[in-house]
Amino acid sequence: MGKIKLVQAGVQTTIQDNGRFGYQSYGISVGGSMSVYLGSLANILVGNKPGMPVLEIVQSPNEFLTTDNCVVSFCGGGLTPTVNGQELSVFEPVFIDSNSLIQLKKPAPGFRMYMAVEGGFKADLFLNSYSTYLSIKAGGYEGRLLKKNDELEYNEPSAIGLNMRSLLKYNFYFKPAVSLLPDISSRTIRLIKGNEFDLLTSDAIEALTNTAFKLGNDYNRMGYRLQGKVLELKERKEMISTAVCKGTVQLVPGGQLIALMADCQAVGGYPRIAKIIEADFIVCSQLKPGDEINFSFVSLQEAEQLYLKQQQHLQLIQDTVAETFS
Amino acid sequence: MNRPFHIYPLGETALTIEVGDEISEAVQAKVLSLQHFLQQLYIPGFIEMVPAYCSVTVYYDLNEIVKKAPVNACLFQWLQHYLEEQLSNWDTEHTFSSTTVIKEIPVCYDEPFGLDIKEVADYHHLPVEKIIELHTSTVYKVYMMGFSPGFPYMGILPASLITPRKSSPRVRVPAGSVAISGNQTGVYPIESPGGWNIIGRTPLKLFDKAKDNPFLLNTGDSIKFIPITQQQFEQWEK
Repeated sequence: MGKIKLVQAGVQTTIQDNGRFGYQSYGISVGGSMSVYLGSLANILVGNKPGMPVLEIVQSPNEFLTTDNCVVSFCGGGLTPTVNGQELSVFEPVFIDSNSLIQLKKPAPGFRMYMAVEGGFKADLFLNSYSTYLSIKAGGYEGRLLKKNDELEYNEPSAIGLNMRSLLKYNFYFKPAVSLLPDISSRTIRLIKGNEFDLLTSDAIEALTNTAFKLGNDYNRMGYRLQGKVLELKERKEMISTAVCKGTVQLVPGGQLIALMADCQAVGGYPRIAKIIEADFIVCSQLKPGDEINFSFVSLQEAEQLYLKQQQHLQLIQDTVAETFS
Repeated sequence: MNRPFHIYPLGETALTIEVGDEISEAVQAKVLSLQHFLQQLYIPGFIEMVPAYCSVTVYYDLNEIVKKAPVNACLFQWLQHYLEEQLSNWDTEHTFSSTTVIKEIPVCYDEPFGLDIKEVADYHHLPVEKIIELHTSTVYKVYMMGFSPGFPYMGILPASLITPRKSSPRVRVPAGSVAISGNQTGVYPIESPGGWNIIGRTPLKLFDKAKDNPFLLNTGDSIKFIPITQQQFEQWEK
């Protein structure tokens, strides 16, 4: 059985899947890939089902050693993958020889890279998900960040994965149509109005849509604190803790914004002025500290359509992979 | 039409059904009643449900909704109308008396555990014993869970025990700490930061990831705190 060994682990390399659902009412975060889309795409490109465990690699040096021939894929940004010194393409399946050194060291635009392997990484299951739950040390790889000398096992590839391996080995390549691939360089984030949007003053609404906000150093998988103009509310409203979700943009005391991310809690007590649309979690996953972003508003229906369009793109790529390698 | 609830989108994949605007037993009863009603209802694309003090949030899969809704419909609006129609059959007074069992939580209020109990007593100009008596005299309800795995938000504290949260939160609150804030009481199931006033500690594990069901409590449970001595606490641990 093949393994991928960590010769060097980055600052935050974790195993993630598409999230832990069904336990939010017990205070369990959904978690999962910061960009479920990129994690799913990485899986699909190696013939896996979309929700299998992948590596989420935050920009910092990582090195992996393969023990066997395998097919992997990289989706996202932040780093340029190489194998034995040669640059690897992203957003396509690549064949890797046994005993190869995969390096992600050279910075590239973006911040998070998703890596999938044929068959999917083996990982600890906790409450129906393989995602790493850092605060309670559960799921993923012993519930923790990956470190040097960890050995990652992976499952037997699917029939598609097996065909892929033999074809890719002989210089056959597969690349999805560029029009189907996400734009990870965008720094515009689209919002829908939150339930407390109407509490914002007109100046605040103006500032929200016409000035830039910066991701400071206060960011993690739970949320991003954004720096920008102080936003005022028409009235101070004492909020009773209520539902929040990934993408909820809260206005915290002091007039600053916090955008909730994958590991956020299900309830919160600050005004929810907006929500980042699902389709733009790809952009969120690629923000690095210091990046400036601009917000624009879309209607709820547009947001729904944009999400469904992304899902159709994923499905199209999955169908093409199946046709090509069946 | 004057409905006993209000539905709004939390995002593209979740909607919130609000049934009140205060932390009270009456609103809590409605939330529970709504939750039970929804559990028996067919909701297309249903993923999960999350109760809070005044609302229930329903998470759903847009890929499923789009199969049911008419072409070019706003999927939220379609689901909203569907739920509004179904909820016209919801009897808001219907309570589900499945929670008559009172779960007991032993608590040691002694100094090494009740980190803030003296401060709380001073704040209320009451002796520590009276604080313990007040805290253990009431049957509380679990209003919701959140903040950390298995953390129960419970209410409502006796009026004479209502205490503001600490001005600066602790970086590390030990697991099992029993705390109060506002008119709420809670238990920190795992070590975490926290801004509530810590008045004791329970030897029980409210969250145990090694168990098939890691959670000791459920939303809607009735809870009573039982005072124990430090010796009892230590024996419990064994």
